[in-house]
Amino acid sequence: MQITKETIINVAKSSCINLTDKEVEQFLVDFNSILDAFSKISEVNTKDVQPAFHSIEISDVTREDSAGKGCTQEQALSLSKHTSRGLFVGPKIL
Amino acid sequence: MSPSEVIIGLEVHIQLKLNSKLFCSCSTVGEEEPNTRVCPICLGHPGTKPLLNKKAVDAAVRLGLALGSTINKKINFSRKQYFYPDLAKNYQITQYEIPVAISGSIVLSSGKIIDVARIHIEEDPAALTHTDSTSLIDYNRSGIPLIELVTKPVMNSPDEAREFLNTLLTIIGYLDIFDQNTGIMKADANISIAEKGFTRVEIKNILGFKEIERALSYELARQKAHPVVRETRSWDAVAGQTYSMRAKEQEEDYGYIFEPDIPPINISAEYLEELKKTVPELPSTKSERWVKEHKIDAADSKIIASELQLALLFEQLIQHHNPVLIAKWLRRELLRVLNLSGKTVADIKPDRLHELFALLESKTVTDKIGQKLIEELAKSDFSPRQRVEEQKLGVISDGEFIAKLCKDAIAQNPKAVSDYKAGEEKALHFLFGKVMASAKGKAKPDVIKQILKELL
Amino acid sequence: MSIRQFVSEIQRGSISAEESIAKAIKSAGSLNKKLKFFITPTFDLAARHAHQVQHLVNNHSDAGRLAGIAVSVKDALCIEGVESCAGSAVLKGYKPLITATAVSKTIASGGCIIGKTAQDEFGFGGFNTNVGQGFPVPLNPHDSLRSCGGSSGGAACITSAADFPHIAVAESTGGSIVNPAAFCGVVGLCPTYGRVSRNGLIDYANSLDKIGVMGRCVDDVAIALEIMAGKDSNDHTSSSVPVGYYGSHAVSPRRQLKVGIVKESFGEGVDERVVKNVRDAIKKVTDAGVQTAEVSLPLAFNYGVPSYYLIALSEASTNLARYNGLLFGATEKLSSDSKGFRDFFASVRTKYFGAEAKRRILLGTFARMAGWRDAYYTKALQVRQLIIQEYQRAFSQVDVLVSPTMPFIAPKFSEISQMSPLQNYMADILTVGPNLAGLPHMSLPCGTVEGMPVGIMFTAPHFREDMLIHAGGMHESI
Repeated sequence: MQITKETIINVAKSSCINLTDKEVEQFLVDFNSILDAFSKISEVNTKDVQPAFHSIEISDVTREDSAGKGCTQEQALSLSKHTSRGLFVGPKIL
Repeated sequence: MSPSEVIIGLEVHIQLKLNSKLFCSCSTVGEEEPNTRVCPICLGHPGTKPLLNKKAVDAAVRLGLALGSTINKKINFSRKQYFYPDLAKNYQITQYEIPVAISGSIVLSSGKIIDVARIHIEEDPAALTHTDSTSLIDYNRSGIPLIELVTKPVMNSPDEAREFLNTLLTIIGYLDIFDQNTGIMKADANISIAEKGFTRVEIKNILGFKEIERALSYELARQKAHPVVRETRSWDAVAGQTYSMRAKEQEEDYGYIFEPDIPPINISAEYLEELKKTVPELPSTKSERWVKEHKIDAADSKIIASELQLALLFEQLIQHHNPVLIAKWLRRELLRVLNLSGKTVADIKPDRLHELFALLESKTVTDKIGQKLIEELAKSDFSPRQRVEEQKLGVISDGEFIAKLCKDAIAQNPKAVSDYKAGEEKALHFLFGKVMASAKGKAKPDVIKQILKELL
Repeated sequence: MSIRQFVSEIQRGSISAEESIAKAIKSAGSLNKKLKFFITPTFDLAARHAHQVQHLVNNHSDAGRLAGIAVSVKDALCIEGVESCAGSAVLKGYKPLITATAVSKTIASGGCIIGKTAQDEFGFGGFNTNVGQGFPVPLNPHDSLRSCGGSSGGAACITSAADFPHIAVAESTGGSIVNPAAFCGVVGLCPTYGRVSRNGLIDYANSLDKIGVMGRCVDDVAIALEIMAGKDSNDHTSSSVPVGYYGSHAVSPRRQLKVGIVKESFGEGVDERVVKNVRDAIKKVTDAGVQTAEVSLPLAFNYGVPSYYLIALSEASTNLARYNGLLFGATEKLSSDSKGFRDFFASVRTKYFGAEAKRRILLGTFARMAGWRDAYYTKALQVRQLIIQEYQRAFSQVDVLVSPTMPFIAPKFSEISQMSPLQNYMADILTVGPNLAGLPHMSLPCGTVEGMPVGIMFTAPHFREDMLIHAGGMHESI
């Protein structure tokens, strides 16, 4: 399987990362060699094999529905540089 | 255009009535000041892990059971990843491959079956406010527990969509998983018409069942009158119209993966049995049963069954009283006075109604007095029996007294008398009303009628 | 002096916790200048913790099993109010509102937090050279031209260099504890997945991340593990399997273990001198009467690396989506004429993520895209299932597995810069197996080559840290 430049550009767009033309070229080389090696897993017969979401058996863990204290508005906002009157300020939505 | 030429499917988001959010213990209700019901988990802070609220699973399973769905034996959560400023983590934790329930249905009054494709649990994003140059974000909603219910595209009119949502609302009310006062029920609808080659348009942000018919009717008219492209539109309830949000050139790739921080949940047979016990008889079943067992009016039955508290009151009262009488009174009188006073069923003590209906059944008071008493019960609590005694509201059947009132009415209304004699039955009702009014509603109606006829 | 001995001296009052920590702070400060193992030293915090310990000792109260011990913490573990970046510029200045459970537990046991240690950005590397912009690359205490290994490079570096009682809280996703432990010549233990709560750990790959410990001897790491392990209501994947008395196994007489020699780990691609050191060590325990058997793990060796990376990067690319300059971390100016939120997010992400982070985000995003997901992400999960089963079959024949930890000694920085990304990934060949299968594993010093430490690795079945510590103790004592 051969990855194209378009795939790299498309994946970068999906990842919200800008790449220079040079980086696209470099990633193209990396991707093709890495994915070529990774594609080796297609050799494994996985018919009727359940995907392992974890490496240990773990299930049925939940929390009771009781309300507790979170953090204050001041604490929440203190970690951001973009705030105004109790709200977080984000970029404009187009 | 025949209805089958319109195809409508719904995705309904129901805010679950729970104390805490889906993955953290922040309160779901209370303080409205922005960003006050938040914590590192619902703010998506690095290092925090989602902690699944058990009650959310219970609620989704119970809804599935109520709709006759197949409940999956092992459920998983997934990350739906896309970038948007209302997502604290830039992914939403939802269910993808294995939702809580698949299939199931809701039956409309016409008998038409609306198939439900799936029911799953997911978290609500934050609330965004748009300004000219920025967006303002309040995370109080972030992580609010939601159920998403997806129908198959099988509805053929805005009216059917409204009835579907209305019925769903009744059911989630019965299950007590939705709070009409604080909860939000939101729908996204897809609608397409044959005339335009069934080009699918998705409409977002339709709030509640009252808006759905408006939004879909508007969109239907728009599609008939204008070219239709495959797109996502938003419903603006204030302007009463839909507007285009974005063209849908291709399906967005959400890059779903399993949520590794939430271990799978096994839905055991024992657990299902436990929950089955908590699913009440549904409104449609109840109402059909009442008509069959108690011979009450079908319309009365349906209306009483549509609200759980009213239905429970009905079932309680008919243990001691005539179901036909109770059905009539609950629907015609109780609902009327509750509407007028803005009160709910819970505001009136069932014991008081029990007393009142005993008085009516024994004909100790007239219907007129009964209506007056029920109106007053909606305003304040009192014992109807005591009030009837104290204020001497009991029925008057003393022939001599009523005859005197009848004679007075005849003397004072010669026109009505001549009309009656000329064959106008209505004139008799008029005279009857006059007599009843002078008796302050207390005179026994049969006796009035009999004496009036004799005198005339 | 072992931690066990030192703590008993502190508890008895014969050594002052405050004085001891003051000395440790002084020493760590000067060592750090040379070796760059800290991202953020927390000397004030250590002094405060020591003060509390001393107060308890003075009042004849139990000051805990780590009383007065300097504890370093990998940068990826959050400490409330202390800059915690996971080694990334995108989290520069981030002071969390929470403290990782594992860290809280060490503090509650008298540990004195001395600093946040260097790592590859978000754990994305095996040599601690893929650091965030402006973050330090730690230097190997045995040869400053060489790497400490990674991603917990700073943790191994300080563990190796410290001339004061110390343990390091580290983290492994695909080998990030045993790899640097081997390169720096210390003991590194990575427990079973879920044995230690991940609450407060800045995620790399949630289904693979494990918090563990480094120390100078088996007993030191055993004590620390015992303290950190256990069920935590703030991490639903933490296990409720009871925690054993691991420390007792390191000091108790060794019992008969059957050791499986992993055939593939002595084969092609592994430095022959490393092989010889490990073979010699195995021979010594065999001579002492331990039974051995050869075990083959073809799936783990042929498909472990791709399966591991596909799962890890798929998860990582979603974990890193949250870094967008809004709620926390590095950000850019919000300009009113911006072309929308995606541009803003991309400007922050492009500027503050390092090259390897970008490569892994892109690879992970690719592996879970609609057209590729089944062939990569889902397939890798299925292969993981088969690899877990392969290990389970091996453990039906032997108690623990043994192999070299890394295929070579710590490489020089000049060599690392010549390696391609794929060569970097393939260097994890010996460590990804137990990490992918969530098995507890431990690296111990095993002689030297060219004056550089070699590591021997033991792997035990799920939740059999006791056996692992047994095996380690046996190797250590011979």
